[in-house]
Amino acid sequence: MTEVRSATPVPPPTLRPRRPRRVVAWEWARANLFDGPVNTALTLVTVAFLVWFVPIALRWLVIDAVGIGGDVAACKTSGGACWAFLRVKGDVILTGTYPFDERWRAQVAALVTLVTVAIALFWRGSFLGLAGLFLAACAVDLVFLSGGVFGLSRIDATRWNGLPLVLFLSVFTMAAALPIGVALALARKSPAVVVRLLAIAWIEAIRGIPMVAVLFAGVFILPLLMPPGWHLSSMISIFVVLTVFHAAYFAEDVRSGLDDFDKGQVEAALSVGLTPRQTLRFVVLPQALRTALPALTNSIIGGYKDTSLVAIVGLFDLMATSRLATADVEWQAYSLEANIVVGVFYLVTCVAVSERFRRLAHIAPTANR
Amino acid sequence: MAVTLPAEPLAAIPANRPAPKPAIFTHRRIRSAAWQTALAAALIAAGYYAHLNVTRNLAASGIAIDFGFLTREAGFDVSEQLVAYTPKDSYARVLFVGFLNTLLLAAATLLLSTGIGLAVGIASTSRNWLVRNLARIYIELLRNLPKLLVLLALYIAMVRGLPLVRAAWKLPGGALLANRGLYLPLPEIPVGASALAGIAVVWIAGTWIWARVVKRHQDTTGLRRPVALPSALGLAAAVAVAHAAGLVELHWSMPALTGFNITGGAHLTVQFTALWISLSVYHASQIAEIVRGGIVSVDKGQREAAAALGLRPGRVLRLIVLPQAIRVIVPPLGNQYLNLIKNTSIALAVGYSDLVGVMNTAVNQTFRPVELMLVVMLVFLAINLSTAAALNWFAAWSRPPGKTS
Repeated sequence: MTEVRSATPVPPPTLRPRRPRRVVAWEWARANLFDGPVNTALTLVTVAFLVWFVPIALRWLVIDAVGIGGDVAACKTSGGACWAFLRVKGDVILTGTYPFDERWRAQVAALVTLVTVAIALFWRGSFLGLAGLFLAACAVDLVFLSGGVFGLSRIDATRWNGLPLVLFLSVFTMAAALPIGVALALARKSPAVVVRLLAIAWIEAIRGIPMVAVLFAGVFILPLLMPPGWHLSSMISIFVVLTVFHAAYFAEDVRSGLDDFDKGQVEAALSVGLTPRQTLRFVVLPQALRTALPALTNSIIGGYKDTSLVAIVGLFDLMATSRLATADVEWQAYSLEANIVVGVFYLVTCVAVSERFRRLAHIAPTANR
Repeated sequence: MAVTLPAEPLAAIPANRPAPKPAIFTHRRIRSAAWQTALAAALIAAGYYAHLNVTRNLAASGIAIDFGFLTREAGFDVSEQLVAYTPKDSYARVLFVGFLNTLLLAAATLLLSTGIGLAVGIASTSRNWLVRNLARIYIELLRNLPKLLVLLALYIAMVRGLPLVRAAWKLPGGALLANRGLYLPLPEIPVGASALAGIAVVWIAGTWIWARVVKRHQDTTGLRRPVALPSALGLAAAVAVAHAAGLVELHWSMPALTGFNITGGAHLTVQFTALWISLSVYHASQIAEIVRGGIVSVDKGQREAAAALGLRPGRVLRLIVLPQAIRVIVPPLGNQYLNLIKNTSIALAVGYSDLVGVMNTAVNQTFRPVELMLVVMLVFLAINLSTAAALNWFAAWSRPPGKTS
């Protein structure tokens, strides 16, 4: 950007008469809230709604609420939220039926996954390094969650509940699905008919059916495909089908990036002597992935949120552990509090991830346009 | 533009000689055909092995793949049905009931979410600061919450928070809301249903002709006459005349408390209501974002030009902005509709008998996952393909003449 320099020096701000603030506020209100009868009516209706709604919400959330240090007796008499519920049942919501004395292991596993995602979002190294990071984090998570080594007692996969489960399933299935999705997108454009048909069948079949049906296929069908005598735990089945599922959606996003790509660049790269493989690696993929980033962000956020659907096939996600926490007769009435906390967690993580991706798409120089 | 990597580098062709005539079987082609054949063979072998495993695994439980069980008695009840069904009916029948429930939920959600999404999307581009920011908060909030969370929170709130049937809340318009669901007034036509259908046909044809006349008038004189108001008045007058002449009898069946239950009107179960509302507000946030993108994509100069020509703000939106925005909106909206139809399958979480829910019960009873999942997958593929076809037709129809994309 070129800087415009004026010949005469700008007068210092103190010399300018300042407008009274009140008038500015009024002008702003008139321009933004009361310009014309329609807008004035809209403003009045909205204000009426807010005047009705905000006090009710505030009273329930804060004024009448029982704080985190309260007890169940206080909750029963108050008309507001019962945050004491979170102190008493927070562990159940977080780790569900994971053995109580070992629950630090589940918490460490959840933390490891979160830190891994944070590192990955700011990763500047190579792709292989990133893959290594995810593999290592997955292994560390498994050691902590499952145990059986380093003197940690063995804990069955059916008891991996709540936050560690949701993070483990969503992060590592999507990390595994991303390279598969890129490969599928390329396969869909392959000149080889068999490869192309296979990719199309995979992508379209998965995208045509609901995720819940895919999860059921994992629970019901996948174990049947194994040789007789093999036992496939539902955790492994779900992990596999989720990876297969996400890969199909990622493939479609990457394809949109490939579709937008300028063919002239491929020809240019080949004519300067790059092999097809090098062209793909250094010219096509970096730009196509960048173009696909907004679509990929949507799929990643959607996939993360939809991992909660594993509750339908009997795994204990955060919604299921919330239900578990309110199964206690004493604390039955406070499911809304649990839902709010889980909702805030999803809101914060989703916004953080999508903001980071938006910035990445922004920082990265745009492709050939 | 599509990327296809050439099978061999261009540098392989020497520049100073004319390019050699390609042989019918180059080394590369043979290799490609060979490994593709090998891949196909490997796939077939894997498929055969999987089939073998399925057969052996099922044989261990004493069953073989066979669709004959579909005619057998299902023996379980469903939460609600649109066609007659008793537990004595067959599995095929119960799957059909589930299919209709899925369609009903999808259609109702589609309508409501489109309405809310359109309103919120337009509101999020409003000049009114308050309205715009409330709409943005709505969009950001709902876009970042899992749909299952929205559904369960609403469902539990409804089951726990709503009054018993005998103390049902009276909503404006005569609807009742209780913890057993939503009771809506339903129009009933005891006499003259066919006469009413005739009126409807005449009304649609009349409105269409009138719209053409208005269009021609506008083309020749530039003046626009009203369409919606005369059409609505015409319909009201026709129905009133028919009613006065005794040809048609119309009345509303109002829900009312009789004894321990509410009779009359239409009953939407609490499961259906919770699903309908939660899926609608969830998808409305996605639709609103699409609508907003479409409106923003219309050049600002278009609005300014329309305003300079003297069009009122409502007409600028309806005649200038929306027709142009709709072409940007339709493709992603179509994807959103397909997602919506698939997402109705979370119905299982609250026990609404949709197709996937019925399938789950049937699998647990019969242990025939292969056949039942095949049926469900084919049904969903069929729903998706027909929806996609309808959307493609609409996209072609809404395209202005002379534009190819």
